[in-house]
Amino acid sequence: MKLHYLFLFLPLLACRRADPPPVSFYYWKTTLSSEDVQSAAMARFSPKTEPLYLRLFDVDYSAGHNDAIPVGETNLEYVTFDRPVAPVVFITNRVFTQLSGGQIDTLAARVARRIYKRTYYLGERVWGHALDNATPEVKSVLREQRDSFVIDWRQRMIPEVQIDCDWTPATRDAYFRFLKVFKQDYLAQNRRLSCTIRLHQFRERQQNGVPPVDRGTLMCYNVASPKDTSARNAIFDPQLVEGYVKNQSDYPIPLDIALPAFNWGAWFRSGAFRGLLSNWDAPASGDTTLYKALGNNIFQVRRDETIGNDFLREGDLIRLDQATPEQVLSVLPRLKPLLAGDGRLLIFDWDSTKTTGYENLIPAAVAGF
Amino acid sequence: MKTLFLRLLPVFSMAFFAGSPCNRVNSCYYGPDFGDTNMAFFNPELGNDSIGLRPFYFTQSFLFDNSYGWMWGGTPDIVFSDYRQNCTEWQAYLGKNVAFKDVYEAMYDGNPDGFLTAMKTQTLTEYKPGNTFIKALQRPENAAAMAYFNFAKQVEFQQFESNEDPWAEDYNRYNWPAYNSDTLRLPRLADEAARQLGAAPDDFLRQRWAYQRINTLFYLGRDEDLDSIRHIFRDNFEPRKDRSVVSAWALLKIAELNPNTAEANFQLSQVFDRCESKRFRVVQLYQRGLEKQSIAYAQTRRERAAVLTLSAMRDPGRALPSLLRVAEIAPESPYFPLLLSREINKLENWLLTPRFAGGSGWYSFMPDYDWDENFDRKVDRWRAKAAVRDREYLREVRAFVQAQARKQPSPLLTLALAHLQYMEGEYEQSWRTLQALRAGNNELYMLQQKIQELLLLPHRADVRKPAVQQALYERLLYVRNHHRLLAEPARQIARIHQALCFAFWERGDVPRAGLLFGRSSNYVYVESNHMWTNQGIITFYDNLASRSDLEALDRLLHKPDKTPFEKYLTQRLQAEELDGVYSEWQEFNTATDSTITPGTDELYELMGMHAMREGDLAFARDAFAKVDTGYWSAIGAIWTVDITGSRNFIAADSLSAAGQGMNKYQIVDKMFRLEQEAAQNPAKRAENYYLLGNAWYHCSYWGRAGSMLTYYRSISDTDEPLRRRRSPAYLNSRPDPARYGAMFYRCARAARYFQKSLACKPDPELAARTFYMLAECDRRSRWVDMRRKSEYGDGEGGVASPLFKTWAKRYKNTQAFKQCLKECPGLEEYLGE
Repeated sequence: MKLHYLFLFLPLLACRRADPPPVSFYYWKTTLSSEDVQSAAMARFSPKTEPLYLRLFDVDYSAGHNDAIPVGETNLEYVTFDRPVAPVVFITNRVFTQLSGGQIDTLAARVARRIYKRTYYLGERVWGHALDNATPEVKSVLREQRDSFVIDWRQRMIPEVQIDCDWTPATRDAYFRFLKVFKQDYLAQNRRLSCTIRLHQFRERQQNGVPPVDRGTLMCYNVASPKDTSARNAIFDPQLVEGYVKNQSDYPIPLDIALPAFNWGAWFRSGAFRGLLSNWDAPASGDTTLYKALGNNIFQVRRDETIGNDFLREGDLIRLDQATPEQVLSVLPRLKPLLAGDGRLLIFDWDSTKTTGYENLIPAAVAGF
Repeated sequence: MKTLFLRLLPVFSMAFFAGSPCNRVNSCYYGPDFGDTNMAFFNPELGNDSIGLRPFYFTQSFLFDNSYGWMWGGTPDIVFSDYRQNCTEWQAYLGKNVAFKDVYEAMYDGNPDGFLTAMKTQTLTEYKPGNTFIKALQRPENAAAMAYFNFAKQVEFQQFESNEDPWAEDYNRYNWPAYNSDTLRLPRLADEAARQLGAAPDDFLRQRWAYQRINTLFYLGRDEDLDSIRHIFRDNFEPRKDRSVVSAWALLKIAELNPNTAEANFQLSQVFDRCESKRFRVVQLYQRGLEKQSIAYAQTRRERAAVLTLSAMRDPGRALPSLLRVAEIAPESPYFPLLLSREINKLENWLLTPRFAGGSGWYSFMPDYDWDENFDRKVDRWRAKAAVRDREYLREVRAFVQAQARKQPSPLLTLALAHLQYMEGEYEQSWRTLQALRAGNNELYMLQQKIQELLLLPHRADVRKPAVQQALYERLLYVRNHHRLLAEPARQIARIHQALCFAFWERGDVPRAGLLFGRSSNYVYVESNHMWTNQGIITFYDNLASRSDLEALDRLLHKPDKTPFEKYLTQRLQAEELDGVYSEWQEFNTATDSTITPGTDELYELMGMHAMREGDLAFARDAFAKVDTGYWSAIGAIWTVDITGSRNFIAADSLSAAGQGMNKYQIVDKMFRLEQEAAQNPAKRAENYYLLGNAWYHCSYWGRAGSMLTYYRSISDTDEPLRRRRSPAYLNSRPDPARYGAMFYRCARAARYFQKSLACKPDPELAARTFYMLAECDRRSRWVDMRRKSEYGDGEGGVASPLFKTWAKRYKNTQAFKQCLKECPGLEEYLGE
């Protein structure tokens, strides 16, 4: 009898990770700053051996060009790096509703070249930084070896490329074709391809399929539309997250887990959605002059007030959408079995002004795994 | 114990709704935006857009006016004043033989690559043949000017077209993308500008080369160039004295780089004042909250007025203090009309929008929303409080305008005053003010006068009187004929119709009110209980018309000798009423068929539905009989089952097939005959009342034929009281809960028939089925109770009725009982059988 129990536990023991998962950040700002990514604060949460998941650019469909085009490229001027980089490219789902098969193959090539170009550029910045700080002897050698320096840097410091797309059953085939072509024809051999997997894609895997990549990052946030007044928390609602992941069998590819560390205020007037107040912080509990806390993260505006470009009026409601550490920790038991043995915890996103929030969330989340 | 049966009941119910043929729900929905709900009657064009301020009106199209669409591709369809000035300066420099239009075409029409290619391939003669400006540049004595123009085109290409291949797929020697070639071109251009600046032959070209040097260094974005940029500006420009257009363009770059925000604000205000084409950028860059510090840099009245104008324009709230200061410092400011109309349009948004359109889009917070059950009440209170403050502000603005009008009368101020007095409810005073208007031949003023009279007339006389209607008609026609003078013609005409709709509705003339509502409904989004509540004319009549109103409407529609006003109301939408696409919702909503009057079939269907709600089967049958049978098929109102059921089926769960299908007329006809037969033949009463009970059950919210009584049903509906009174500004898709709530949501009418059937002592089998249905009605009523008490969704599957237990006790030995349990195993479990 006891032996049977042992057999039952064997698979669990095999899957259980020995160490806490490493932590990486997404970097989603439009300008990459050296101070931001080289700060001691980031290193405190994410060792310098861990890559930064850096959004390089987005890809969207352009009716004018009748093709996919790169947009919103992250500015990499005046930056250098001291940790690996995992380039992330966000592709809008409509790209895959509009492009033909041939165009998709071309897109894979273009995205690959674009990533190459941008990371090469980044490597040059690193080379430039090394040059600035080198002794005269080393300097002369470095000057001669710019290209080999950059190529070597790229090989060592870019372990992974990630594609982010909110694909649907309707675009599944096109998107998967893109991923296959990208991986087969354009991905360096020592590099892995990952993609983001939204909660609905994870749960409805029959319809959405499983992407042909080396691993996936399960995005445990953005669970509802911020316009939805019945949503308790559009960024992170433990009950909704749990609803997506419970009773699901193992996902066929290894998973990393991404957790949110951002917030916004969803602004309503007379029940109608007015907009998002980005990075809107809830007023301190003692501050009742402008807002009145109604509970459940909802705040009532107490007087007419212009904030930035928005005219808030008395009676307006602001729902603070964010993931509190307590909420995140409450679903960790559900998420824990999903994390691959070599999986990492990704935090969306890095902002050097939010270190207190990370302090509250990350150590506890890591311990929870 | 809540059993499978009870847990599955909501699913069955949903399946009922989904299977029901008459659920008309718009599954695709585009939300209304600001302009769709906003009510504004004061035409912002009154300020006269001769100085290019249209993008800055307080309207939906703020910054998105079509006139400026070229910024995202295309050719400008307006000539910015600073572009014009640039052309004039070139014209003056090159001599009179150069035509203004040729300078303009060479400068601003076409892409720079065309000119550069023509230059390089020496094909300038084929490039814009006959262009006097190009010809002049080619003369040897103008070689320096040509060199500058060529350079300016290179910079333009660098700025706007060099990235034409968005993938930048040019290759270097490694067969991989080259480095960004732009970064090489721009420094080269900057160096070239520096060389040429030093060698400029005259002041005209020196200033232009200086501008290009500043421009190229600016876009290079190197910190080490900041001092150079400022030096070049200081050495070559004196913004207060120097009126050259490039001086103002260069000033924008200086302002953008200025770390002193207050001074930068001042510089931006000067650019705003002098460069129409740079206003977007200026408005983006201007920082609010530093008025005092910024104005300290101003030396003249006009300069001060420009700073205050930007402050006011960046203020989405009450900006009267800025307006007051503009009036005090520089009453002749060209921006005064813009600021005044913005302030009036804001007040209209705050005060008239709630009155005429309900104040917001569809109402999505339900009263039973878990975090605040009193939300509705609070919203009303906040609105009331906001309205008090807004009225106070209205008084302040009106007092200001009144004082200004006394000091320096003008038609604009008179019209503004009349409109503000109207908003204050001072209708007679407003009328008197309006009559004092001296509009001269200015059509803009005359148009606004007519609009104002249209708003005032209903408050001065009874709109039901033919003479008043004739007066309204004449003014409406005038507005239509002059619609081109409106900022957003179709939308502004629709708002007038909506205001008049209120006037007729308040006087009890619902038929005409509805026709006006129909004319406005493509462009005005009113408040409703659900996002999918139809905003069209038939929903208006469904909400607000009585049966006699509908009959009066029918007579009006078929009246042979209509008055001009009545013809106006009933004619198809005219071109000017459909002229304009302003929002996604409106585009989606705009009727493809410009007929706005309800069709005869629609009207009789609605009459029948009203009668059905009252339980007047005879009237409903007569009304439905007038409907073309093809209409029922067209709207999908054909039932494949007989909703009266039969004595052999459990009507709540299984119904017999209806042969060829039954339309609304056939259903009500059968119900009518069953009623008649029951009245005449006592032996048939028990069975007929049972069948009628079934039919009324299925005509309820819970049944398969709810659309016999209403157009829309939502799975979150209850019989809770309406949150506000129905009006042309608030439509609700539910039948009036106070009057029909028990019947429609709680199956009270069906239950009454089942009780009547039981009172006739039917045989045990029929009694078992009847009692079962009675329990079912009770269960539905309890379900509504539960839905009203708790957050929607909590425990709905657990709703039960104790009557099922009574039923089990009484009818345990019947075949009907066994059949019920066989069909619903969950029920068996619930009953502990």
